[in-house]
Amino acid sequence: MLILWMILLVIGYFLPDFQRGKGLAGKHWFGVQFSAKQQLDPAIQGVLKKTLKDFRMAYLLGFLLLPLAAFLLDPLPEGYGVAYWILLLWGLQFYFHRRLKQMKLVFPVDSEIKIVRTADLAPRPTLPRNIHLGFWLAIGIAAATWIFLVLNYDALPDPLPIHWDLMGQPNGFVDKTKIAVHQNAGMILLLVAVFYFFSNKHYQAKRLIDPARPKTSLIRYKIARDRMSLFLVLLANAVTILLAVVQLGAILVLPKWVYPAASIATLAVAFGGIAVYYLTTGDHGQRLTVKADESENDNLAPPDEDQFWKGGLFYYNPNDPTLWVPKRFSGGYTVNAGHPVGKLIYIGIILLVVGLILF
Amino acid sequence: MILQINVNSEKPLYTQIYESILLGIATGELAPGASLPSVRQLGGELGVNLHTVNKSYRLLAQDGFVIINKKKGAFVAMDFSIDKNGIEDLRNALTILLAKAHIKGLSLEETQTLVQSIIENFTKEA
Repeated sequence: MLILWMILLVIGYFLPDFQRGKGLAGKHWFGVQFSAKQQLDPAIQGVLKKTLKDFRMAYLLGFLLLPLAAFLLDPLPEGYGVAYWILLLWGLQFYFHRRLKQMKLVFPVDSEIKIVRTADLAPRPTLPRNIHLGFWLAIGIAAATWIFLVLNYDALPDPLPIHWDLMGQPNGFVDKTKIAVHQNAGMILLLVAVFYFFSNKHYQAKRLIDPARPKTSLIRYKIARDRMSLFLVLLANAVTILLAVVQLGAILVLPKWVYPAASIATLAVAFGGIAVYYLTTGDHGQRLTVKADESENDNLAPPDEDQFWKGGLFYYNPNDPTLWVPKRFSGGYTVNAGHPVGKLIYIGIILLVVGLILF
Repeated sequence: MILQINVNSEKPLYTQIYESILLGIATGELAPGASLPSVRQLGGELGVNLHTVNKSYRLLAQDGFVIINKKKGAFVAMDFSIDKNGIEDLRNALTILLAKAHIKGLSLEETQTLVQSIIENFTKEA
């Protein structure tokens, strides 16, 4: 448990750095965009450093309240700690985003900079062939497990395990029925399908192309997306093997060490993979050093679009036809609340939260 | 091909997209038959409304530079042959441009050199 809290402490502390690096994404500070030229201004550099320092100080102080709350409310109700951690980060992001937005207004806009919108007309790169093969491998393992379980239905225990702990030991059961067996085995295939969907979708996601170095941006995106799809296919296979092992363990006699080994290997792929990805690559490839054959032009900058970022966390732009947009703070994607489908998603989330609180 | 549109330009966005794609075809950066991004994809990447991109594509299709297929999407036309009406349209457009050059005092030689350098630029890049 302590290890989990240490991981959360470190993630929160370094969250503003997830966007640091080269390219456009590297120019977002708490969701506020600064041009390459602005970031070279010593006065702006001072403001950015001070904001980062203040965020970290406030975060550490806020985080220290957790053990105090745990001591006073012993035991702390389940889920309260993580909820507090998320709200703490959101609150700080909102505050520092607003503070930087106001500070940015003080600095004059460079009149030499030409504001341009950039796009690539070439077909988008698609999921590489070897990644496709990797997904077929996971599908093969899942399908073989399913067939094996159906063929050996009589040998399955009653009640049937449907949930396992971190060490691979069953801790949740249902009455043995054919439907339950199909649900268990089908769940693996569904998970593989979800990983495949996101792996594929990742290539279609919105790209922030730096107008000063468009070719370099596109190379970064290609590498970043190939690496993310590699991570997802490895994770899909690790999860498939883990679920296959625990389900087959109900029939086959496997060595005891197999369960914790499969569990630890899956966790290592999940957490290790994501850490390596963000440390070496980033969603926009902002941590990669690449050099394309192009002349750089620092007098070109994209529109600032700060007005569409509410609190630096929520994106609302009815004119943007993109549903999923890359986040400006931390990593991953967020939904464009100005998109018709985005509006439905937000309404759904609000109804879900209200429903969970009331019922 | 990288497309860049100037946000502060007085030219409408759809005209800038139209002209950039046209220049891309002229220089050979966009080959005949090359597929163009979907309206949604291009609008998303540029951060502009769907209708803006749609208008550019429709104008390009109307002028015969792009073909829009409901199933396959938009792609660069394969055949750019010109008929009598097309030549007449070009003549009218050129007349206005050359009138501007004439009023501004460009001589015949200067105008010819200018036109030649632009056309050479297209063929060189292609």
